[in-house]
Amino acid sequence: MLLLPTMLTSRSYDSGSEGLLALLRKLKPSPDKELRILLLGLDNAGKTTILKKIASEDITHITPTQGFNIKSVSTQGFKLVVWDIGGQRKIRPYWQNYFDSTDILIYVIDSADQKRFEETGVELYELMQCDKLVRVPLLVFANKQDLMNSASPQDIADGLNLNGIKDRTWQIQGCSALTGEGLKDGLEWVIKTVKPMTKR
Amino acid sequence: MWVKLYMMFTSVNTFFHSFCKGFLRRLTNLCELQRICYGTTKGYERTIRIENSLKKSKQLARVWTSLIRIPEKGRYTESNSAHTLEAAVTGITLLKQVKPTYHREFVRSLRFSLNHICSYRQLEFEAEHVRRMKFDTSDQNHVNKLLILWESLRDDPIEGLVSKKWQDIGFQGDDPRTDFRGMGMLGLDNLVFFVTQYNNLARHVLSRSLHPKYGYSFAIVGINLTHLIHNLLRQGKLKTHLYNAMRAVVGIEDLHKLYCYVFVEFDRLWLAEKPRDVMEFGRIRDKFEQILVERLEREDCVLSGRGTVEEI
Repeated sequence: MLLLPTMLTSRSYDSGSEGLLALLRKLKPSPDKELRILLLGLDNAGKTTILKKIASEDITHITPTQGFNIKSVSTQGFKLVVWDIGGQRKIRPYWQNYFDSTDILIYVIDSADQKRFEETGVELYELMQCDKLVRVPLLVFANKQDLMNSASPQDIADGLNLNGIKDRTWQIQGCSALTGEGLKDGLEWVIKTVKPMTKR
Repeated sequence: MWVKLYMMFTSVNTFFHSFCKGFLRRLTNLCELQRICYGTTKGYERTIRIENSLKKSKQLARVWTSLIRIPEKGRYTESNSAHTLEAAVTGITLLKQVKPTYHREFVRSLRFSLNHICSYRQLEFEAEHVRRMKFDTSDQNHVNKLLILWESLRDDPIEGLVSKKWQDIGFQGDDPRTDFRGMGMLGLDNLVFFVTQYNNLARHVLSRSLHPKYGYSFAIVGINLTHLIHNLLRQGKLKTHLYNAMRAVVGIEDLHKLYCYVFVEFDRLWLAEKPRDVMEFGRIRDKFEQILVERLEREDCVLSGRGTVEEI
């Protein structure tokens, strides 16, 4: 979308200064399209570890998130601005302050914490009902797949009845923030999903 | 080109440094370490100059590396610290041809500073060791620490390791064990020291953290503050405070004490900032770190805690 007009005008540089301007514009690297990504989930789901792993930072000194963290990562011509909001019950009411102009919602689940599947399901259901997040594509990260007792992404999708989500595109991706496995696949889905949206 | 220039500059710089050293040595008949010991005040100013001089010295390179290897492997303990220091002092005086019987004051100062240099590294080792230790439910010692934390802050009993009540002292959910994360047992040890050694103060801070408008989560903010001081320790930023504190023995307790100071000061800044809500934690934490680092960067820095509730 951003590149298109520049390319068109650059072809007609026979018309003096206008052409030169177009040529200069062409030489200037096109700025990355910014994507606002919201990272939500219960406490101890692994949101901050995912955020740091994506940004290629050290993940051995993580602490519970009081408040939020932001990081931006550039990939495939996109600048992903990721907002990682604390998952503690007490601060979940503040989640909605961060909903505005969200491009993608990533919901993180601790696949090994079966006792809290119901709680995480309820929170996700409530997010799906929010007006401000309507039609925002959803990626569910079934995190901690490296643990022996973790549930498979398929089982989680069934348990949370993700198939009942009809009003938006969604995807569930198994991952391990610790090893990094599955994160790249998840982000590729994000890019694939938003690309047609940005061209519209 | 810049690399070349930089290399040229550093080699000129090193040459100039050793030239000056030689010149001053002839002029004063004292080696650089002696000039430092006789010409600076006791504490950080002296110890850091000794440290830098030893790091640079080619002649003393072997003495230096074999000295710091001891604390870096965590072996600078009470039983062998005297022996380690003696070996280093003897090595230095021999190589520098200083008569220890004549320069008694120099030997005493040198030993005092070397002890601090080693103790700091030993402290880094010990803190890292405890940080890497994960909370282990099968370890009664770990469980007891968690229960002591509760009992010191609250008068009502706790039902067990999993209970909604843990949120009352600022853990995130029902299971406090999941909140220690990357800080491991260092996070818990810091908290336990604070609530047992400065009980009134800790209870006071906890009650402030429960403020309906300006509240925050006591325990997890505490774990975030452990992260802050552990980072400063690793960056060598606590050297001013610890070298200036002049204590004969520097150990993990000094880190715990610093933690208490940091907690109380953070709480004070938090309330003074009148945050809109707890989501402002990141901003205030960063501001707090900046203020703390500015204090620590002063050569004469000594962070002294306020020991009583009245003072805060």
